[in-house]
Amino acid sequence: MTFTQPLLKKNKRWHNLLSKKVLSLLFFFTLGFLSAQEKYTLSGTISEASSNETLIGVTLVIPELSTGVTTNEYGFYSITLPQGEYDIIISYLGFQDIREQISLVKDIKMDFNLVEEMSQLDEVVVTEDVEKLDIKKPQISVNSLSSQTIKQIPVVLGEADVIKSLVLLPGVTNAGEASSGFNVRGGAADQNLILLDEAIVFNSSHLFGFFSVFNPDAIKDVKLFKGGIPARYGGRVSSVLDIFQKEGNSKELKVSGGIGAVASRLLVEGPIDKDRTAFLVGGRASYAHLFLPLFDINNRAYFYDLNTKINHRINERNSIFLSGYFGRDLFSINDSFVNIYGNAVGNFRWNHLFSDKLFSNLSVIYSDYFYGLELDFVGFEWDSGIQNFNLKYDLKHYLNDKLTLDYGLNNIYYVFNPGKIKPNRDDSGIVEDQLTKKYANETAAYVSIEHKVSEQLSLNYGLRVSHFNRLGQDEVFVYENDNPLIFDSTFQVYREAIPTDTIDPGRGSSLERFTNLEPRVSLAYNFKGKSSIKASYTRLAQYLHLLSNTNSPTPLDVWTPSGPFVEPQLLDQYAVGYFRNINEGEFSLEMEAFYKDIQNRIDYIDGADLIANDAIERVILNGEARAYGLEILLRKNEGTFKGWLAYTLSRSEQRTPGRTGVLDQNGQPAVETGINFGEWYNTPFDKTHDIALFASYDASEKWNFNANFVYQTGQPTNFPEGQFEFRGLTIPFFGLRNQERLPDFHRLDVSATLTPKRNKRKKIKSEWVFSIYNVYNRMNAASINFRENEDTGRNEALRTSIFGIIPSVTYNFKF
Amino acid sequence: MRKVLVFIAAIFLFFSCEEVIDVDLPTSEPRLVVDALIGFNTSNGDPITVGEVRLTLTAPFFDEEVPPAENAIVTITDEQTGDVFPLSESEPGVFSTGFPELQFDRDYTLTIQYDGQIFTAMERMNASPVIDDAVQGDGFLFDEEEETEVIITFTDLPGERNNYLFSFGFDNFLVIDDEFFQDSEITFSYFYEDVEPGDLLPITLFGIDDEFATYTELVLTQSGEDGGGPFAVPPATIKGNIINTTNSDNFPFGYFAISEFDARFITVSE
Repeated sequence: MTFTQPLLKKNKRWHNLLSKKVLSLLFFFTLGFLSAQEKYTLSGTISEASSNETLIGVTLVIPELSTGVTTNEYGFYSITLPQGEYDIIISYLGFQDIREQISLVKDIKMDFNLVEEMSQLDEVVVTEDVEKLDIKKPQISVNSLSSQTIKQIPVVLGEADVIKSLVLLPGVTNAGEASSGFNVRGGAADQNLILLDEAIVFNSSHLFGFFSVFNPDAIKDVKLFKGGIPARYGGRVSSVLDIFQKEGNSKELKVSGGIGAVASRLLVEGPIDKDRTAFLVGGRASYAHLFLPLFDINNRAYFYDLNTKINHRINERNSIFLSGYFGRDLFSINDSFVNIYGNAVGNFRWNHLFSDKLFSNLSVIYSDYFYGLELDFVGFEWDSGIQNFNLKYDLKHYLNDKLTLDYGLNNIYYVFNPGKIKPNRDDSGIVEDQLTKKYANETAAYVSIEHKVSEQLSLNYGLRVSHFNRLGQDEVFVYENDNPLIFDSTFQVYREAIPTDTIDPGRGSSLERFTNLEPRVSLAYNFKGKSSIKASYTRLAQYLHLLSNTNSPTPLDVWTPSGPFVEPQLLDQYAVGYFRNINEGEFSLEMEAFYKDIQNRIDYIDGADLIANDAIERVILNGEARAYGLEILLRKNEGTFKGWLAYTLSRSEQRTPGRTGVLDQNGQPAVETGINFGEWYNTPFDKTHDIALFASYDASEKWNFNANFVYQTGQPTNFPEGQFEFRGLTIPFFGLRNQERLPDFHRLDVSATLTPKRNKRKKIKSEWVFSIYNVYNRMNAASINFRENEDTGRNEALRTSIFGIIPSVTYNFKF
Repeated sequence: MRKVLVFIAAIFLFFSCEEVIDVDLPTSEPRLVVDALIGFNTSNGDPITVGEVRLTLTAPFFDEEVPPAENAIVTITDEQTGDVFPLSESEPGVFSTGFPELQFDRDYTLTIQYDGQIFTAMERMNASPVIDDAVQGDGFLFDEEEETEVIITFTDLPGERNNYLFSFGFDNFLVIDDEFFQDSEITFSYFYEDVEPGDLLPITLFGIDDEFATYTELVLTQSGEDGGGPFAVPPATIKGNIINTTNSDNFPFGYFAISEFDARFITVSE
């Protein structure tokens, strides 16, 4: 006994210490509950008066306590305050403020309806901008765009476009005109998580990037997280683009639409059961033969998409939403070459209030990306795609006015179809073949706390735990020494290994598992509510990779899951920022610096062919990427003249060293070269300078003018060091990767919107949008190609540019 | 399948605009370039060997011509017998006579002595099927006026994975592998541009190995065939199968390959 006593004692001390810690921690969290005797909760939903459309990000402020709350993605708010009489102010861009006095002597449920502001030029309109800076919130590196702003930004051929608008924000670039996707802080396009009503969208572009797949009429809210990504998001390392669609007008039937140079839109929404059930159907279609006017009638190129949504408010505590998206692009050349691709998304959501303080949302989502191809002159059809089943349960717990807790679970099951080929006619010699389908399951749980420590200091800290299980598949290649990529020491090149065997591990097995802890921390410290400094650290894991070695993703690029030879990408991002509201918020200034570092960024060996490649491990090397930069955004938020100026100075690089301890073709230890001899090289998304200017001017009730200007350093590319001749062909040869740059990219666009005076008797509201894209007709290089001119036999550098000056007119209506 | 990108790029280029511009380019030291495709055919009864070893040097990209690499000593060694066959230079840098009678399943080494350095490559002959049929069709892809369709049928060599190189004349080539038509007969269309009635279209099918197929694909891609645009694949340094045994850093460009071949000729009709 005597021996064990000290031990026991020690143990007890430990216990005491531990329980004290736990207690204090508990105390810390339950502060709200303990003192809840004198505290009551004000909660409810805030929506738009004429349609009952819930509003995201509306601020409810209690000036007396200088505290407040914003509505969540479903228009819900909740705040717990000491008993008392309060003035509350509810404000939202473009809507009249609501001021109300409440007597908080018990828990109160209060829904508010905001009335749209008829902006009058001769009166001073005080607007609270959704896009306006909230300097107190710890959220850093986030940009919001309202669908109103998106519609004001002039774009090519007059089609309002979400992704084209994003490029005007600091830290966001793209590979130029008509390129799909976008790049955030030097990241690749596949590193953006794009969510449409919580469903993952795998391809965001129509017509290879001319337009994005989001119908601007159906969009309610767009948020882009470039850093400081909250723990409820995960799966992509660069950014989160969170898009919410409208729910539908539950008061009256409304129709809106537009007729443009390229496409037409129509959106119908209305009540099924007034104030309780509403529907929304939106469609958009381009005109056929769109871009092939020079060719005869057998060629087609068009796209369409369809958005549908039904929402039903069961009672005060429960609402359900059913939504769907379906979009397709079709190209066909003389029926010899037919190409169809697009997304389909189905989504069921259930909002449930457990209490005034605990909001929950359950989402069940199915999403599918399909890519199909028919090449009649070779005699085959080709299908590929990715499907996922996504189950999400998110809870938001408004503990008190200091603490808000987010927690939830997420499970995604993926099926990847890298490709199936089959003959398209009887006389075709093609043998039907299915490239091995891949399966994976991604599970995540998170908790995150938004904590107002004091009047000055707010914190947001959380943790996401993600687990990825690469499931078994019908065929797995086996390689000698487990090495799918062999370095040939004689020729100093990488070569694909030939599989020694193919095994069937069975669908029930697991090929590889990965677990990652992803902590997220951000803080904001404000000085008298006028300026603040913020800082954040984010760790993120990405388990899916888009196989693409072109400058901009193509629709036939295939997603592949992490597994035995492909490690998950791991990001560490640090950001600090200084934020200031100037002149009562008329102007705002945001400055941020970031540094990020990504492990396991793959790059492709020289000459890798990724199309229909069944064994991608044979053409990739693991490397790392890093990016750092400074972003400045100066905004004018109010008045008849609004807009912003964004400047980004940044650098984005990657490094792919040779492996060590791997045998070469002769079984000898090899000294591998890696890519570019293991030195850092520019990623294709490295843009040293990026300037964007957007200005909007309300000249009169009838006229509104908009302009934007973009300047980006030319994108890294390769120029030949010389030429050689082989089989009569002239072949340029190149040195190290991405050492040269395309000429700088810049462009000015302008537009004017005419809103004819409304005839009071008529219900129809209409507007004309006149726009000129690329006003000074700058021939920006999409690429420079080096080749021999077939007619003259001379070698030349050929610049491809997509759009010169393009004027267009769009007519929009609403009734 | 790489061709699919070419098609997409082609659609892309319909509505884009191309212009020749001036660009300052980096330069590099000249390297030896070896273009040595040796063909073998027995269809007329007698085995014939045709082909040449063409030696040139690299040049700055905008130079109008590449210079020949003159005064080299070129031999082919039959590794089974040890016989060495010297080739003779018929015009500057071109060696087209003196080839041995080729056999299957035998290693042949090409040796080049040039500028005090020795370059070598060893290869075997790859078998080829015959072209079953090649006829003119009336289909087209983009433009009925400019294009002439040729419908080609051949049968995959059974029991193994194969790669084939088609040469259509006028510097037009196509590399195919049999992944999706193993052991079966395949018919496909090739579209010539700007050929006139009466023109002779030479169609040659070569059997090639994996490495040469990859090499030729890269060469074709990089020679500007894929049109570029945002879908352009990053260019690579295309290394062939020839080693500089004197100084490995000064590697040559080009390839040495031996292929059985079959050829057809079509005269374009109206």
